[in-house]
Amino acid sequence: MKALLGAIGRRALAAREEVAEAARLVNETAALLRRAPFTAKGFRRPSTVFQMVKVGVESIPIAVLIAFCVGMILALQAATQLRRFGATLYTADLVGITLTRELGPLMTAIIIAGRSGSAMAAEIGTMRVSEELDALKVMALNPVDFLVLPRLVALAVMLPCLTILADVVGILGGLAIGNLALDITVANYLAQTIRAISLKDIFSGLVKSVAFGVIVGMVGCFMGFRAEGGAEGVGRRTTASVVVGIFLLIIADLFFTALFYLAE
Amino acid sequence: MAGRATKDNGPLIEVRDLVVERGDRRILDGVCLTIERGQTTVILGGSGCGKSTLLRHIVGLDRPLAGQVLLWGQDITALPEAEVNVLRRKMGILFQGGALFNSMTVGENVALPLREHTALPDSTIQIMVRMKLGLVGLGGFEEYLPSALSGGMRKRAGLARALAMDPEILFFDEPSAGLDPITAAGLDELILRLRRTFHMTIVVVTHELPSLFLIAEKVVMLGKGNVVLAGTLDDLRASRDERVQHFLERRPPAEVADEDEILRILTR
Repeated sequence: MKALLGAIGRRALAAREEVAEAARLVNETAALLRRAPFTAKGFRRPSTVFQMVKVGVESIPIAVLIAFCVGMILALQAATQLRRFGATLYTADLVGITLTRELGPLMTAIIIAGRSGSAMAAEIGTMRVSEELDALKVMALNPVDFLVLPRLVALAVMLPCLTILADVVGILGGLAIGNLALDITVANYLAQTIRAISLKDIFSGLVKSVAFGVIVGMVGCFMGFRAEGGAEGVGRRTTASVVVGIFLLIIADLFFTALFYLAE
Repeated sequence: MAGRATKDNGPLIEVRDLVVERGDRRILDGVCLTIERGQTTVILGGSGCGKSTLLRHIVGLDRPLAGQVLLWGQDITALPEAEVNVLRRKMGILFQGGALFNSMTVGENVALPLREHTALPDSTIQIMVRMKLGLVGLGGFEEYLPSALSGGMRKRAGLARALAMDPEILFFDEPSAGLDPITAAGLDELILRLRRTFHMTIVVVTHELPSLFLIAEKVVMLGKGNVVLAGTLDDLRASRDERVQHFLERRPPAEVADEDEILRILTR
């Protein structure tokens, strides 16, 4: 019994330490963000642009592919139910609303967490293990300023862009099913989609995607900074960055959904 | 306060009663040492004696449990990071593996401190990068990625980066680690050349005896968290302390077997 309590206690203390360190990183990042427009180096444009290409442009193929498939899946699932009421046209509504409100931002963020969040954790984790972070510090450079800020800004900017793309392509996926399997004309489908989606749907999706970008960035970088113990430690933290990242994404999604739609 | 060091007098680096613990192990137990301007000091000791930890505390990467570290007369254990950073611009450190940034070329690595801390135009920075790389014998390697270099070349590149801002103090953390004897000797020769040409203050952490005898002007030997000896090479050779003698003769100490300890290990 004592051993069990001891184990729980140790885990709790370790978790508390993690949360404290995470809070410290968030604090430092926020302080640097506030100061960045006024310092000489600013937002490190070359580094940030490089990250934007890595995170955003290079993710386009996979994000688009998955969005298209998800659109098709949604349309298929909707159609089987709506057919019973002879209301297959409303597939367009369902696909459009679900994508813009929920699945567009969330699926895209999850893909990016798996792709870029883990990459950031691995990259920074390896830097920590090979003393590169120490080298930055003794060169009088702040690792948070140098590494985290460009990645965070890149994600916060690129994730909304990718989300818009995913929304559009997902609707096209639904259109493909609607046209080929449900005999809805292209014009009808698109008109119905536009009728169904409100500006609020798109807006709430985009606000979410910015928040998701920040979460993926902070979790990825944090896990990298905490990596220790050689390759195994880096591997562990990289995995954790995806798992914790996705978990926090869904919690945030719940929060935003309640925020935007609980009142309706 | 008496003995306040200014730019022209007093020791450059002073460590006073440094106490460092990790978990419940005491790694440094009241270590004191001074490093004078223009001297080459070698911090010596076996593995686990705390010499790399000492170096980390001298450059401010970690904060000690107790004690002070004075650089240019200022106690960095009591200063905020921003002010320590001002002092760090006058230091250069070569880490054990070189610690080059693997996503940048050698030239970009060496240029980084210049780009970040000066407002020099890119063309000037390129010239300085070429100069520093030429100094360490890596002229022409600007476009190479660190992964394309051998261990010795990576260390030289790391040294070029450490020299980029013309530091007053150079630190070396185990420069010969992982190098064959010839390459290690080449690095030692480089250190000597730097000393002769630039009259730098140099601090080397190592356990390699050949390097020690080639470059040391002053020796500080650590043993289990304490300073065993601080003096010149002659002091080292003349020491009657058996830890020093064991180290110089590469003779491991006789293992005194503790029966209880052995029983505990066997029955764990």
